[in-house]
Amino acid sequence: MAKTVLICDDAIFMRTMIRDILQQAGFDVVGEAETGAQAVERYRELKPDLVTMDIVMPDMGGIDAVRQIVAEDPDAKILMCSAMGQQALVIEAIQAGARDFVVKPFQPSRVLEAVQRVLG
Amino acid sequence: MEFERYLDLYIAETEEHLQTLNRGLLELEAGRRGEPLDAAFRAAHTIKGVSAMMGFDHVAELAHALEDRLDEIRAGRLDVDAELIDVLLAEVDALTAAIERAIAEGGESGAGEAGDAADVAVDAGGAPDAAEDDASPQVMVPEGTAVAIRVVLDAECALPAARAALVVKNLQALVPVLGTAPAEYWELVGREVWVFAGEEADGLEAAIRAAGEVATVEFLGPETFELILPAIVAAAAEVAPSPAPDEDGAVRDGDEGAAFDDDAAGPQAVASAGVSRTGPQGGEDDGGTTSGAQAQRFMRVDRRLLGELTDHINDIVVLSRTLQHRASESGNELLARMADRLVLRMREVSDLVLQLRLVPASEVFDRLPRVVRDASRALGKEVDFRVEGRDVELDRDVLEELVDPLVHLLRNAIDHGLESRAEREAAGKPARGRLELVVVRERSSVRIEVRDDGRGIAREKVIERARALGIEVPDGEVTDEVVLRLLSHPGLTTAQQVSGVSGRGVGMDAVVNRIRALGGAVGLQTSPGVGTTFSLRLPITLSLMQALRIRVADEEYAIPVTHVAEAVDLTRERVEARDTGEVVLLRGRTVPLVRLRTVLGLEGAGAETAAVVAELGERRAALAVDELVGREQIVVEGFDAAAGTLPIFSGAALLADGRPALVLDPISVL
Repeated sequence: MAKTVLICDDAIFMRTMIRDILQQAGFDVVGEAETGAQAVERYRELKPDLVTMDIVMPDMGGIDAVRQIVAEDPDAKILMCSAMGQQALVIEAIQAGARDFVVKPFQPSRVLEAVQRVLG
Repeated sequence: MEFERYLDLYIAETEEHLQTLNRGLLELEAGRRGEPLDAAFRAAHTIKGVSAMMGFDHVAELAHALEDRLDEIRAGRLDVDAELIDVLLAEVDALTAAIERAIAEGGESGAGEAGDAADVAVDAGGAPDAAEDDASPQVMVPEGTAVAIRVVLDAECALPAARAALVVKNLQALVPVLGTAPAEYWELVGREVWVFAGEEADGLEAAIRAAGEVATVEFLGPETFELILPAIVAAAAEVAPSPAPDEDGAVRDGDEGAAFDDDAAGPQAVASAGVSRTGPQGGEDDGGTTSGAQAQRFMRVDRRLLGELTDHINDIVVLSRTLQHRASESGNELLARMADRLVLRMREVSDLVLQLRLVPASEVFDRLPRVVRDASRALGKEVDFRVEGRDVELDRDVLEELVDPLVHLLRNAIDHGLESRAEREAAGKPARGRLELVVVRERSSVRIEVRDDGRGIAREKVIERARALGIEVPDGEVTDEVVLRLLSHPGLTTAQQVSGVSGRGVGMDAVVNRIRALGGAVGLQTSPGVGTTFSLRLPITLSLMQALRIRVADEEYAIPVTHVAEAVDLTRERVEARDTGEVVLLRGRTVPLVRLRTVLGLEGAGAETAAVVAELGERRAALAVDELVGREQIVVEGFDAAAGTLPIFSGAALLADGRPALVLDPISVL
């Protein structure tokens, strides 16, 4: 059975790109979120196998969302999608419970590598 | 990467964010921070990200620079003054231009080269070059270390410190980690990090590699520690300069033992320079995001698809009416009833499509404050600009068509209408000029007014100029209508000099023509020393219009109802001849009568028994026709008029019975 994914990013461009990469690799994108608050809600509803999370989003940023999701589900597997120049925030996200990260602009192969690492 | 596919998304995305950027800066200029500034920061950030994904590296660089500046402002590390705002707005303009170029050229370094992480500059959250640390890091292998692990990350690793954090985190799950070199791995800019573990265990290498982007892993026992010290010291020196103290004023110490405690001030301190993570609750008004359940109600729609859908629906509406017409003539009851139901359904469908096409005026009018700001700066005028009715919904296409005329009217008002501060104060007016854009929805049309409280239009000058150009000026009182008509003559301008801002050859004539082409009308009201108001009246939607069908002799025409006040029965009303022409007496008022047979040069049996009263501002005229056939929805198409065609037609349409008809523009008849 295909693994399910929740994509969180406030840019529709990025959501589309990530969705395409994952769907073409056989993943089932079951939901999208535009804000950290939506991400937390959708996670609760969908309990996806994997979450991709942007850091900068309105209405609760990615790091707080990671914190909350992991607090409610310590097994949550979250992959941070970070832009350039956000190293400190990525580290914070890791400390908040994210399992791995990719940096934009990313190549599909790197994204899939990271996804494999996260899913174990 | 399929470039074409993402290009449309990219265009839509950046358009939205550029508007947010402009808005945030204008708010900042007005002394307001808060959500618009945060939104502007995020907008720059997103533009950076998506531009990098498209391979538009130059654009990404520009966006990155803007992002950093805005971040500095938000964090209070950069003072804001008028000059800075000018610089930032200029940077936004440069960004806009770079985006347009990138889109037009289909990429900068060629499409499809996006995403090569090797090209991405390594950014360790601080200046990667000179390490200006005062104290050289004291590195020793911590007491009790059982194994020193040397981890070398991949050459293309973009965020080495973050990777190191993952390595450490993974190891911590298996063995006690006593320290690292460099001590604060979040400052790492090189590829090499040492981790000192208090125990040996199986699976350490696997755990390290599971962090990703790991090239080499070496395990070294205590007997080698002295030998490897120089290597450790070298690795420890590859750090970024220490960042500023965090908000609490705490400065982290270099003690290797305190390095990666979860509660340590480390990354949090560095991250205090970053994003404000919990923004204010409640909806943003940048049109892009709404919270919670509301967000699921809306979705993005491809404008082109909507345009195609509209065209098809319009065609079907006309076809259905034709069908209804034929069905009613066929004598087949069942067929006629079905056709009636079809027409009704299509009416509902086309109403729904029209709803879809409606967008709030703010989507397009939000560009205008920036235009006003730039123009007022360029012309040395101080202007308070207010937009009322941002939420009024209009057809997207109508809105787009309005931008140029409105920009012209606004610039005109700032240039010629509003006086300088000195003049205004001398006249007892408030120092800053007041400019307003008011949008009001009426039943089947929308009214937009551009109001200024400036010096008004100098009638005498207009008349003088008109006469000098040989334009005929009517005798009698020169009303605002007349002034507008004169102003609409190409080539007439009363400005002493044509300023670079408003006099680019986009004259009032172009404005009037554009509005008329849309089936609308322009009105003027001006008062010397008090101010000027230009009003534009437009149909709600361009494509499907309500029209009156009329017959003149043997020909049928259509008149858009936006201009029609009423229709009257000429056989009942009194028609009189005056010096100026015929008039019809309507409820005590005299309305000039225009015989369309005469205007159109048509003859034939029959007589003019009805009149359509058209109005434009204060002026009205009764257009005499043979017959009022009915009211229906038509689709107006532009048409290439043959030479010698009367300029009174604004388009052509297909009537319900399938016949074509020319659409009359009653204003031009007036």
